[in-house]
Amino acid sequence: MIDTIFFWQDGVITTSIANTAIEQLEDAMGTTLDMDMRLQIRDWGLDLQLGRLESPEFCEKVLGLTEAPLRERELFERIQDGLAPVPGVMEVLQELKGQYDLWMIGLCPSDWLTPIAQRLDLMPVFPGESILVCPEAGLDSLIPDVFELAMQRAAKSIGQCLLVAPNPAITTAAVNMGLNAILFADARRLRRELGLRKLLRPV
Amino acid sequence: MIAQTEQFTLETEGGFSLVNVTERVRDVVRASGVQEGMALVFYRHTTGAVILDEHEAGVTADIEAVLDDISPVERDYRHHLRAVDFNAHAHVRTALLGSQVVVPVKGGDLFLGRYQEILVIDMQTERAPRYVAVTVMGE
Repeated sequence: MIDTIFFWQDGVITTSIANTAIEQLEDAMGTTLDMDMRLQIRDWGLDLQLGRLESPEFCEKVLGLTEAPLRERELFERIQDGLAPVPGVMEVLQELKGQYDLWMIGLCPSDWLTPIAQRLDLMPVFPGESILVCPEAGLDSLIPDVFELAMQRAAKSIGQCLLVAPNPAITTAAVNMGLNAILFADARRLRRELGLRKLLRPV
Repeated sequence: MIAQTEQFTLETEGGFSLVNVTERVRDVVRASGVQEGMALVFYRHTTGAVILDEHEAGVTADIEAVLDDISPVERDYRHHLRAVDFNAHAHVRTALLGSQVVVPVKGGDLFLGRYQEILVIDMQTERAPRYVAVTVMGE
């Protein structure tokens, strides 16, 4: 019986660091970045998730690549302010709060994660230690290591856990190791999936 | 009668990247002004497919597993004899799944079943821009 739900931060609870950075750079430059640049920034975003890059280093590399007219600190702050909630998800979390053990798989360094958690008032939803900070976890690879880490931290068996993630590569890896998973598209579909599992009132 | 074609770009990781394009297609249909007709969703590449299915984690994993059985990545494909690229599995899977779907348009919106979503599967081995064309026809 499912009593624990892990929410992927990037793309489920908030926009991703990489996409937020791209948006802020394009805004500052008044132009669209080409695809190679966007893909490179997303690759560095993955390095951030694993703690292979820290936020100042990420900003430095991104500015070096794009030659955007920003200083590192400016980009850092723009990303911090630009991280946005995914529409409708906070409302779903509020409904789940108190009924299930909720965890967030945090995918950005603390200097970005803590302010966004405060701004979105995530602490009451994910109390105590229930925000995993992946960049500080020393993982060799995100998938599937993060699933094992999450279950260890929550001290739950695989059958008790459900993962909500936005990327089929993540959910397929989870399903293949026996973990229940919801492939997130938007809040409306998330509600439907939770309803089908009888974790929320059916829509 | 209105006939209008639009295109949008996907930035996927390749490999087996599944993208739900339902809302993007819906936007094209609504912008076209067509109330009754049909929408063709067409993937403009030979290493990917468009399907109608439930956008659910288990279904996605199952499709990938079955395709791995039928057309594994590692195999003695004749396509590889050209030594230009090594993506025959993606071509074979494309042939099996198809490159387009047609969805009825009713009341100015996609007339989909409750769990039907329009999904693009990019199976190319490398990342690159992927183009999806949508033709809306009707009145």
